[in-house]
Amino acid sequence: MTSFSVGVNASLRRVKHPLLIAGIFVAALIAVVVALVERRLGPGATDRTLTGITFGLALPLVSLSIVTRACGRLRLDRSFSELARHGADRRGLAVGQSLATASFCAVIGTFLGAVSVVAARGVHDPALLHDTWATASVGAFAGAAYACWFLATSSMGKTGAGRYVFLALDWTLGSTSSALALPFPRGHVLNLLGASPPLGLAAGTSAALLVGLTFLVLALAISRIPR
Amino acid sequence: MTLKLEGASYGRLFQLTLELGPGLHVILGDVRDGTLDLLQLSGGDIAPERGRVLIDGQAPHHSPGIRRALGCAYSNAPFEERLVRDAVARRLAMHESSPTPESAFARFGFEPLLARTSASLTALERHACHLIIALSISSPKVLLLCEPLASGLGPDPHLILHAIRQHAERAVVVCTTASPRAAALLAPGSLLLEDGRLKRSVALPTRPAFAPGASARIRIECAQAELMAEVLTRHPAVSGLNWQRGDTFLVVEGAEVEALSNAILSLSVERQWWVSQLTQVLPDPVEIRATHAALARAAYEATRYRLHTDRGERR
Repeated sequence: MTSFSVGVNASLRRVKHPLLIAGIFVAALIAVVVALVERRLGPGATDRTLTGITFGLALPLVSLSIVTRACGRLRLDRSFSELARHGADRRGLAVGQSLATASFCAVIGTFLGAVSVVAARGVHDPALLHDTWATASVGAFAGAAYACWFLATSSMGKTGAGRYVFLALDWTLGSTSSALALPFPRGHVLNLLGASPPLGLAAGTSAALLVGLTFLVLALAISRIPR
Repeated sequence: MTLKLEGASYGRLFQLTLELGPGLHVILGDVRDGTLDLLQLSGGDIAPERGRVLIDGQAPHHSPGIRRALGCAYSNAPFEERLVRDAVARRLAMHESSPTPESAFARFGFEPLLARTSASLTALERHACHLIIALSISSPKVLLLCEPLASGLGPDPHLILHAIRQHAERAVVVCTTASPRAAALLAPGSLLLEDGRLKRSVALPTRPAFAPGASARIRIECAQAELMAEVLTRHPAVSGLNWQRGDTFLVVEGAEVEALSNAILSLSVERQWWVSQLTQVLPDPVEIRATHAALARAAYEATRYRLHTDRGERR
């Protein structure tokens, strides 16, 4: 049994907590209700829903809850100290944990994006299928990116409080269109959804930057963990 | 096989230097003294802020291979797995140990625990599980056990003690305890850890050895406690005696444990008074700590006085 597979299994077991699952459904429900209200207000309901409640608020909060749960409210390197004590490689555990958490958040991002689009457009909208597919893929990217960033910033602070600081910075700096928004996923996710891009970046560049930065930061955080 | 700490500092521990070879090493102290820090450092949970911790020349904090050869039972961390059997099986597999969870737990008469859910375990039961896992590892290099004979733990203390002694023949076994009585049961000698520093080693588990200056005390349980008390008060080895009317036990005090024991046993044989239990009264950690503080204070005052007299400033 490798440390990687132990990390994957243990993380998935942690995130399958009933309260967390209930929280995800509540977030989806709120996104659907907001989407239905936006639809009644007039055109552009999908954009407002996705950039506002779904990917602006619900997904970051849900991802933060998932990562906090996967880390056991501890730092990234201490989150599996009980298993490391039995000889598991901490880096292997962290890689497994990152993969499991990022995949789970990607699925949640896809789900939140899809239900929001369906609610905002209605089932009879001809562009529904195309828009759902596009939003779901952005949701998967966004979910995985948030998970990786929260995991990486969990290496900061005694109990991994860096992830909360990161969320605050993402909300305050990430929503601007200045250079300060570049390191944060929010600006790039909004760009992929068609909102104003940070520094006028093209969607492709934003996606590449998001993926590159996310992997770089996570790789750095994992490489700092002792074996 | 050696466990070496070279000027290691972390938490309560201050520049601790220690080299332990195969055998049973008992460290007397509680969490405030740094016993948990010592075990966590040795187990590779944490890296020292200063100094080094090495097991066979390798740092356990950076070597999963070394950690696989360690048996650690110093936390009652909850298991992630739903069932205790799954949790134990996974941990034994990680150590590449041959026994199955059933055989490991049956050895200590604790197998009913395997069928339970991890969430239903109490802290003591979790500690017992960690202890059994640690003791079931085949050929460990080092065993790090905290309070292995804690009361209410579950498994028979004699079985635990037997397993610990078996491992001690080949591996470095470090047991920490806050109880002088458990320390005496584990091994004749122990190291006193106080406030992050190893104060001294105690060769014999007696009250004067743990708390220098204190007299030895023995508690005797005997149906003829009253008669025994009367005779013992006149015995030269006895300097003090505590007995209350109606009690079936008495506590005698003297300078030496051997002399006291001999006096009691001779009397018992001579008068045919059956002694049902004979136990040493060991000091509690507070008394040990207070004695050390008094000794340190006395040493300080003596040094200061000598310095003053050397300078011709006799008070």
